[in-house]
Amino acid sequence: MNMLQESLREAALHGESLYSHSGLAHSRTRIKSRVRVYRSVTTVASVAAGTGLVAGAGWGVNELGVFDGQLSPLSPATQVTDTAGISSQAASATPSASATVESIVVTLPAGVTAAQAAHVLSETYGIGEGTALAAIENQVAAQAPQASTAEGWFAPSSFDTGAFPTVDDAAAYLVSLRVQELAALSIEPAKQQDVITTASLIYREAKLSTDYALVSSVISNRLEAGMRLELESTVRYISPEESFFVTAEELAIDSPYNTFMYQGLPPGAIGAPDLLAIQAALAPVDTNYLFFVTVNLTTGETAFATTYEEHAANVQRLNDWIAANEG
Amino acid sequence: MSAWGDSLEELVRERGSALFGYAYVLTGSADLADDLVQDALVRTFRAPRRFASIDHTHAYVKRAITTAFIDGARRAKVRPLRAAGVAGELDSVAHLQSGGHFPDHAQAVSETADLHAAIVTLPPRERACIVLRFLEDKSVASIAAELGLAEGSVKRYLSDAVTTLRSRHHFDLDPDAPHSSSIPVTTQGGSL
Repeated sequence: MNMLQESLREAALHGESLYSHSGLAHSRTRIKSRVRVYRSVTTVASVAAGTGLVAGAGWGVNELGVFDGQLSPLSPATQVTDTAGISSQAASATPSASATVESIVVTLPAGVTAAQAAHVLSETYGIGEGTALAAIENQVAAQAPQASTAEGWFAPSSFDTGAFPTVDDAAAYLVSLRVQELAALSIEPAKQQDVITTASLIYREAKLSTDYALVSSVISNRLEAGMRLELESTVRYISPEESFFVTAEELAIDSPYNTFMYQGLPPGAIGAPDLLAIQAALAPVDTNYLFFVTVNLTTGETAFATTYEEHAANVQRLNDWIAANEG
Repeated sequence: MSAWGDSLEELVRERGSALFGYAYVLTGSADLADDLVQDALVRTFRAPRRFASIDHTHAYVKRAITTAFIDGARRAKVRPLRAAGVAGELDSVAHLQSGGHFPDHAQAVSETADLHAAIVTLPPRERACIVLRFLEDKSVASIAAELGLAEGSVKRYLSDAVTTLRSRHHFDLDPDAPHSSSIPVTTQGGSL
């Protein structure tokens, strides 16, 4: 027998003998929670896709001006009903080559990472995730050379595959929306990456949009004071688990995204912030807050504090809430 | 429980050890194999798919393991994330690098184990090609299709890998693959 074959078969058997000690054999909980995160993102896309099967084609959508860059944020259902109703009439009146193309509305919700967006695009266009991610990264590099990573440089938005027949078209559109948003806010290019990064932190950290400006003030105050940000969302980004709390092991991950380890903003965004979070990043309210903690995981109520003692009391409120609501 | 949750549990119960063994061949580490299989299962179940049978699911996850292995290695290079492979390095790699032998194994066993230890030091694409060719007994054409590579690239990876194993690690390997490259995929040796 060929020695390579023999060696690999023995290794496979040896590997199988180690299986009973593996995490996989022990529990599938982590896998399932990771699957659920993806399924929730995809569901948004496929729900929109389900209602968005337009009888006509992309040209009808374009003619109606629905995709005039005013698309986000939108309610997919409303927009899709309008488009479906009108464009199917138009389709019979003006047949065209593209009229047979099935048009699907896809939504990327706020907060998505580039990997999650690539997953949705790969499902939408039937291509590999690597290809989809490359499409996003290429568009970011082309349209926003000031970006340090592609993360957050595409707008979480909806688009119609009829109007954007290839993944490159869709990526170009999503990135251009974001670039336009930043230009409309008159942010100079050199500062845009920090704004996007900060906004992504705000989006992930604040449970309620009414808290965006306050979270923004805490980030700004900590940076000014030379304190580490110590935001768990940045650790969640490098260690994507469903769990609300990060473990001591995760806090020890040596990465520039670990804001418990390194001072300053992480090198890139940790998700795609919505426009409100970007505005909050630009305009932190004037506070002395240095700490915050969510004290009610159902309502998202968050308590802010200036001193560590106050913060510790707020953390206790969270612990009390958990004790009262556990199980 | 959800339908996908049920089929995930069934697959792991019945095929968990085989999938783990396959991932171990690629990574040479139980910890990395664990991560790899879990990643592949996430990739498989995160989108709605229909599987005709458990064999079908098994085959899909196996491909996902190979893809995740190559992607993971590529991403680890690009992104400054978690330092991979610090914990759970294959013991025999260190052993191999120190030039020793396994005193508690017969010489033949030691040599095949050393060979595997050398294989897991190969670059990921070369390693994947070697595993698909020699463990899975796949043709160059089917490896090329599975990895999305040109057949010429697969041949080059295979030949570079064998050259490395011969020259750097001094294994006395047959220059040729055990079968002609046109041989169909077989199910022999658990190569589902």
